[in-house]
Amino acid sequence: MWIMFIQNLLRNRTQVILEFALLLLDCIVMNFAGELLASGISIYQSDWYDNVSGNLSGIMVGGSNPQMLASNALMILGMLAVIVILLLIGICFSLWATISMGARQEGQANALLEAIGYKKRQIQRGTWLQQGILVVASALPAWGIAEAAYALFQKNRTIAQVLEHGHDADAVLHWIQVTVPFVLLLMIWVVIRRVDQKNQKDSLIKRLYRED
Amino acid sequence: MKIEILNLSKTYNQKDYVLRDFSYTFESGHFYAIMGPSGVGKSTLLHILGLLDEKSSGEIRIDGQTLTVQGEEERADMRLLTFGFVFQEFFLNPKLTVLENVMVPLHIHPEYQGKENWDKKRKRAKELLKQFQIDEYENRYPNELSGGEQQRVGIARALANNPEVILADEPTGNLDEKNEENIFSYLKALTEEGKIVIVVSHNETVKNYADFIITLRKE
Repeated sequence: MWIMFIQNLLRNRTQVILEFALLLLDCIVMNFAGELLASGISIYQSDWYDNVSGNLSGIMVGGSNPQMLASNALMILGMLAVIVILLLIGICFSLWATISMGARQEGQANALLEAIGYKKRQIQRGTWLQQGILVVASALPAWGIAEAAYALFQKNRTIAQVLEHGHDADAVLHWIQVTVPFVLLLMIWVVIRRVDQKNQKDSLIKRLYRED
Repeated sequence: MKIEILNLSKTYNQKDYVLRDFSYTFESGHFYAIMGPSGVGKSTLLHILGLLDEKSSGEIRIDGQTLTVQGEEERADMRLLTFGFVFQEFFLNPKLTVLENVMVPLHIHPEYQGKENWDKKRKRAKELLKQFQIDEYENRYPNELSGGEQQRVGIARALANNPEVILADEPTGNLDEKNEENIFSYLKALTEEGKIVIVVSHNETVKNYADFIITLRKE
């Protein structure tokens, strides 16, 4: 995969550098989202939460409820993380759409070459395998998120109630740990595949010029 | 040129017929419209005629000689020299200019192949662009043209190798009414050069241009 990436880099530097910058940005944002959610849960589970609540109760005066304040902060962190994750799912879908478009154009190029009697018609390389990997890779994080959501909301429990049960909280953390790197890998793969596909598509017909 | 189709059938798994016992004769200088509801095998017939698909049974004769094309290489040669394809979605390469798109088939044509024939290729492509009144767009990219103009580039490309048969699969499927008429009239004009034009279309307008209408029906 990385050899292909380097080959593409040599072929089309600007485009790949831009893609790579986008990929890095995605990684940072995704990491941030994962960290945010995981940290929020860890904080809630740790003594720090009680300490903060205790300290806050010492500092705060009047009608403020420190426990409520800490809960709200945690909730805001969770919401932020969910928003970021949703945004990233959106990015994944948009990349997927781009890939589909690329595949369509590639199919058209193949059909044309076949119709004009080009003998060395290029068959789409490993398309089924690649699409299969993409589907499985997309399904796994979705499964993880679904399982985490189930752990959180099963039996009408509140987030706080679920997190008080160590096992459920561990399940949530586990899925975050699994999902985040997996989505990162998926995105790296998607971007590299996309760059490769662009090159394939262009090369199909431009190859005719080179051979000339 | 005369293409005779005798009892042509196409079936998958020897039970489901896409096309059954189709017989017809296509002759030079005529415009044929193949019509009928979806799923009756119009495109399949076109693909078999253009050697993009294989028949299950039946016979195809070209000028009285039974067509016995063996292997993919020979089929490719036949497609290159005898047939020109026009597609519904144009299939123009977005990274190539209009002129370069028309030149694509010429790069593999025996008469034009090779760097030494570069000027000859350009000349041929330019002539075609002029014929279809799109020569002023030769340095533009397909996305800078309207649908009708893109299809004219598609027809010019189909004619690049000077094929005797033009096969068009729903060539006006993505065009508005005005451009439909335009494209059909360009295709009709090709019959005056002695070409056989076979068009698969759902569009009733084609009847105004076709010399013969072949309507396929479901069994």
